[in-house]
Formats: sequence, structure tokens, C-alpha cells
Amino acid sequence: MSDAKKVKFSLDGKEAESHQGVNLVQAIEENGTHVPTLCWSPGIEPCLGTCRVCTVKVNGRETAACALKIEEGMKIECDTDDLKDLRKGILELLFVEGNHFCPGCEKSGDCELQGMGYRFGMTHPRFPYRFSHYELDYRGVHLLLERNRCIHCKRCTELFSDDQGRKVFSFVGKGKDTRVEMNLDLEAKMPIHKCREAASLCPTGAIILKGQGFDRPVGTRRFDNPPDKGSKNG
Amino acid sequence: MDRATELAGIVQKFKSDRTRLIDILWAAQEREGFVSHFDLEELGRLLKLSVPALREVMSFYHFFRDQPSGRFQIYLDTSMIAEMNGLSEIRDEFERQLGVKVGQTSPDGQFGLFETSCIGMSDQAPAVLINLVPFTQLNRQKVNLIVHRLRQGVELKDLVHEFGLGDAQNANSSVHSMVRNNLKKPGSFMLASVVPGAGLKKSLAHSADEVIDTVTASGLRGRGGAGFPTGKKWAACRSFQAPKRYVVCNADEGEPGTFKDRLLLTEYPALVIEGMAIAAHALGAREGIIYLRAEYKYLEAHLQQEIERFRKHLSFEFDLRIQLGAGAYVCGEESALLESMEGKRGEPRLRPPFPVEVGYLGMPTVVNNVETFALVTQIFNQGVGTFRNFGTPRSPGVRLLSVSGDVAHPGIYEIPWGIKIGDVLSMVGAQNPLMIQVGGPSGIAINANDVNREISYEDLPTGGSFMVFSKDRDLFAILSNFMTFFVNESCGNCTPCRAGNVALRELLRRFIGGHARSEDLGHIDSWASIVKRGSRCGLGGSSPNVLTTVKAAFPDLFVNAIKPGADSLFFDFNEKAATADYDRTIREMK
Repeated sequence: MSDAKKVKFSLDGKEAESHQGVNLVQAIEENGTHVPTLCWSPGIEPCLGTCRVCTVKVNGRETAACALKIEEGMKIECDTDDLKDLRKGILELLFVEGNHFCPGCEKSGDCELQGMGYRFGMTHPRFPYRFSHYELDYRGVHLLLERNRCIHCKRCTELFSDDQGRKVFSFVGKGKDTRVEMNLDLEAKMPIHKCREAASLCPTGAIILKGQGFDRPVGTRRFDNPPDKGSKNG
Repeated sequence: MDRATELAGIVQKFKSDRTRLIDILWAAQEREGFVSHFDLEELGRLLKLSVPALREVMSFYHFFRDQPSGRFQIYLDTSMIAEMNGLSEIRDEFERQLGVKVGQTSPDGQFGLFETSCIGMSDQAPAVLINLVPFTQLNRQKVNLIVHRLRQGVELKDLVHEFGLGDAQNANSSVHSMVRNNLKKPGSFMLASVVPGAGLKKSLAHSADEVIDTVTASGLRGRGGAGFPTGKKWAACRSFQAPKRYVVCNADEGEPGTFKDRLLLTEYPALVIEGMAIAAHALGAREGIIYLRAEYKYLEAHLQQEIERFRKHLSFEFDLRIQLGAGAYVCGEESALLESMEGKRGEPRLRPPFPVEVGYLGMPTVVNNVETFALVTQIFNQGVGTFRNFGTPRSPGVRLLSVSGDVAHPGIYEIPWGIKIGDVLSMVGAQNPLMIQVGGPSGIAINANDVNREISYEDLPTGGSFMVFSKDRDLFAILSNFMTFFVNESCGNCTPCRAGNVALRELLRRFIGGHARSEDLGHIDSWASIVKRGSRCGLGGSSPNVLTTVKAAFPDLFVNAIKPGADSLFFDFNEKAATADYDRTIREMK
């Protein structure tokens, strides 16, 4: 990006700088303010814009930061109490929508959703738990599909394909009844490195590599330690 | 012909184009009333798509079925207005007569009974669609007769005839429907009689830029609800260089309580088609598409005929086709509509880029409401000055209002913007009104005492829905219906709308069930704000209005629903009531 034109914008009332064409999340982070993200992370292209936990205000209007590129003169609000509460509220919605029993989850400590919960200081959700019914799909050869933990971010349905470019994960249904499906025929033929890729693409523990859930001991996982100020965690 | 050959023919008809998937699925569903797994495998093979990828699209739309769902598929309109006009009786009667519950198909495979959101018949509720043919103003006797006749083997169209054809074009063989127009006040502008093609001819005498300038000067704003200036939209679309541009008419009239596009498409389709042609001239577009909601499929043949009829007025190449929807309110959102037209799930796109830049098949596209196009034609016929004689400076012109609920004269009214609520109420014969829902569930609820408020972008904007609720109505029942509508119609793409509307409905249920605490009063606004501000499109952006605007108009409603002592622990636990059934239950288990 060093060749790109410099752009100036305002971030929470202070002057900030980045380069033309940089994703808003990155532009804000370059200037020392953390933007939480779940469906998006650096390298995810095209942006999915589904989870909305990166909601900031651009020129007075709420929008998902991941879906925009920085432009000269943008007026961005990010680190305000109001917006922090809005983002926390959206995160809490994800926690009540699924059934997230972190202590028993293979992904605990490595889960982006859980990590963010800690980072936000979420002790309990303000919304009532839904206790919705989700089927667990254990029929895969390598992969376990644990829908209780799915946040419908669409990383797997939109961004993942097998070695021959075929879609392995898809949605079925609409609205609150949307569920992710796994193409078992294709899954059975996938080499283990592709399965690992699918599991690590999932920000939560919805796609789990069978038999390897607890291979990294607690204490050495990504989100086991409290995040440093400005770190990318959570 | 065997099924595989038949499916191959369908795919061939649409040139193996997977962007025409909605049409392909409709055609595949025609024979058996559902698309089987075998069908999906065949279609997948032919279109080079996997079965799950097909299911992903198909399962988004509620009129597509993947299981045997009856030779006659009956969809009950579950809108609030239907609820007020006897939905529960006709539901009960259908269930009794057919021996099935809603959601089931009769064992003989003859009937499937399902529910759907508003089908655009609020002025003649309760209504159902049977194989997408509307049957209106039903009661137990009529339901009885319908089931009896269909069992006798009477054809749907003969049954419609028996019930009596509707007025004007509804009785035309191309429509053949029992729907009534209920045009109560034609007004003098929008529905004024015109020489077909005259407006287009006038526009063709001007350059594209001049045409856009005229539309801009008229101050016309989109009639779908958002009110975006039409001229600005057209100018933006024209500013993007591209090999093709498209004109799309949004006839996905899904906002509960709206049915004015039904009238325009039935009686004045030429006005709409002509408006699209004027837009095509202004934009340099050669193709136009009318996205017609599946609920209005009964108008498809009629519209097609009108499109053919209009061709003689076209002096330039402009191909117009109809794209049928398949049951999804969210497709009324313009980018979701484009996704659906491209054969995908109708989920709203991320914007920018906006459709005027990257629209249908990636090309600059203008999407306007049915009524907007009709007005464009009239503006060219009667002039900007005449148009601006009506309305207010910021809301120029007239619009159609679909009036339903507790009124003496439900139907369609042409009104100038700026009309006072009090004047509307007396015009429509409101009966003991308590609350008015302006603009449908996604609009604004007001107290009927606010007679001096006005329908305008400055005060109360509306996409055309105007529902009146009398003092005999239970406001909570209305809220419950509206929230369930949004829960059902959320596309599920983004968290705040998908999960937030469910949370809001749970919050509402606390008040209804008597479990609300005083802090829940604040939750209405704070939770609503999360859904409203966090959502990706206007559906979640406006669904919380249901709760917040009713709370603003009737603050006591929620306060009074909080029981005394509600803030103490377990206030509502009544040991006697909770264990009343205990002995009986134990007895029954033995």
C-alpha cells in the first residue's frame, strides 16, 4: 500500500491518516484504535458484512467498517461508549442465538467469538437465551458440524471450496431458521489439509476436525491470555 | 415425456443460464407442485451446480417446496388485517375440512395448507392463495364450498367464476380473478386517462439529459417507501459508463397493508410500462424487467399481454420481461431484488456500490417502484407544473394510499402529499379509531388523535400502507403480529436483524405475558436501537419501529402491562396455579 495515495480522515475527532483503498478496519487500526471483527479478518475478500460487530459511524451513519474502504475526509467515530455498547449488543445477540457452552467446547481458547466476549467484558447477555434447536452433523469423515456454535458468518459458505473449486458448505432456510449444511460427498473426498483449512476458517467451533479437538493444551491457545492493548485478539 | 427430458427442456428454455434459477425452479415445480431430490440432481447436472447449492437458493423462498405439498396448495394470508377479519375462523375451517393442520399436506396428496405474509388483499380480507390464485373475503361457508368443489374436481378457474369475477380488468380473461379494485378515490392526476404512448413520445423529443432534468425538476421521489429522489437516481445511473444499463420495476409489493400496485398493474399497466420506456430512453437502457411478486402471479399473463400491446409505441429497442418472485418480503429491498433476479438468495447486498453503479448482472441499474413509473408517465403527459400543484415543497405531487382496517371504505385513494390525518380518517370513514399504522409495520404508528399530522416526507412518510385500528383492538395483538412478520421475513444475513427481531419479540412477549419488569421499558428503546442501527438493510433498519413508535404514541400501554411488584424476585410465580394440574397429570400418566 506504500505506493497508494495518502488520505486524511478524522477518527473520534482526531486527525488520522491511511492510504487510499485500505479497508476501514485496517485504516482505523493503523491509527491505534481496535475494531472488533468476526466475519472479517485481514485477507478475507470479498467482505461478507454479516456479523456487524465492526459497526462504526461514518459521516454520522452506522455502517460495518469491514465493508468500506477509507476515503479522504471521512468522519469516523469508533471508540465511543455508545458504539461500544452497540457492538457489544450485537455480540450478545450471537451468544443468545446459538448455544455456546464454552467450557466443553474443543475450540475454547481458540474461538474468536469467545475471545471477543472476554475482550468486551461480557459477563452475561442482556437478551433472553433462545435455547434454539440445532442438529449436530457428525456424519462427516473428518469434520464435525456443530451448528449450536454457528454464527452464520458465511465464511465457510462463501469463501471455502475444495481442491476442485466446488462449494462444500451451503445455507439452507431463511432468517432465524437458516442452517449451514455440509456436502458429505465432497467432505469425504477432501484431503486432511483442506479439512483443517475449513476448521480454521470457522471463527467459532462450528466446524471441528474430528479427533483433534483438544490437541493444544489449555494455556497455549490463542485467546488464553488477556489481550494486550491494541492487540488483534478478540 | 420422462421427467429428465422435461427438465432438460426447461433448462434449455432458459439457455442453461443459472441466473434464471428462479424461473427454472418455478417451471420445475409446475408439474408436481414440488421440486424433488431427483429434479434437483438433474437440474444440478444440467446447470453445473450442486444439489446443496440449489437448495441454498430454493429454501430461501417460501413458495418453493421440496416435498409433496398437495395438488392444491393453499396459503393463508396471516396479515394483521386478515386476523381482524376472521383469519382464525377460516384457518380452523380449512383445517377441519381438510383434516390437516397448517404446514401439512393431506394424506391423499390433494391439499396442502400453509401460511404466508400479506398477499396484498387487505381491502378484501381474509384471503388465501390457492395455487397462487387469490380467493378473497372468505368466511367459513365459502371455505366449505371451496374444499367441496375442489374435491368434486372443479377447476380453479371455474371455481373463481362461481365465486364471481371482480370488477373491470379483473373480469378480463387475461386476469380472470375475483379480486376487486376498490378504487375509492381516483383523484385527478395519477390515474387521469391518457393517450397510450403520448408521454413517451414527448420524452423522446428531448435528450436523455433533458428527460432526467424534467424528472429532477418534478421533485418526484420513489414511491416504495424510502423516498429517494427519482431524478437523482437516474442521473447517477447514467453517469456510470457501461456496455449496458437496466431498468427494473419493483412490483414486489410486500409491505403489509399495501395493495395499490395491484390496482396499477391491473388497470393501468400501460402507465407503468410507458414509465419504464421513458426511463430506458433517459438511461440508454435496452432491457427492462418487472419483478412481480409471486402473490400477484395471477396478473402475469395480463401484464405480458400489455407489454406486447405497448410494443407498437416503441420506436427504439426495449425488451421487457417479467421476473416472478417466489415469496420473500425482503426482495422488495432493491439490492435483494437484484440478487433474486440473478437466481440467488434474496439477501441484500453490501453498499456501496449501489445498484445505480453495480446492479443487475453487474451493470448500472435503476430500480423504481410501480407507482414511480406510472407517475413518470403522467409527469410527461401533464407537465411538471401540474404535478407540483399537488403536495408540499419537499413532497411534491400525489400518491396512492392503500387503506385497510377499521374503516367503512377500505380501498385505494389518490391523495396529495401533505394531507392531514384527520382528513384521511373522515374520507375513509374511520370507525372509532385508536391507532393508525402509516407505512405498514416498517412505518410509523400514531395515535388517531393526532389529526393534524400530515402524510409527507416531512412528517409521516409512507410507501402506501394506511391501516386503521379501532379502540376495540388489542394493540398488543397487533404488535405481536407485526413482530412475527419481521421475524419470519428477516433474510438471516446479518446478526442484528436475524437474532435481534427474535429478541424484540421475546421482549414484547414479556409485556403480553405479564412478566415485564420496569427496566424492560428502557429495553424497548435500547434493544430497538441495536437492531435499527446495526442491521445491513432497511428491513432491520425499520422493523423496531413497530415497538418504538407504538410506545411513543401510547406510553401507558407498556407501563400498565407491568404488574405490581414486578421488580421483586419471582413476583409472578403462583404456586397454586403452577401445581393445579399436578394431580390430574399424574392420574393421566397412570
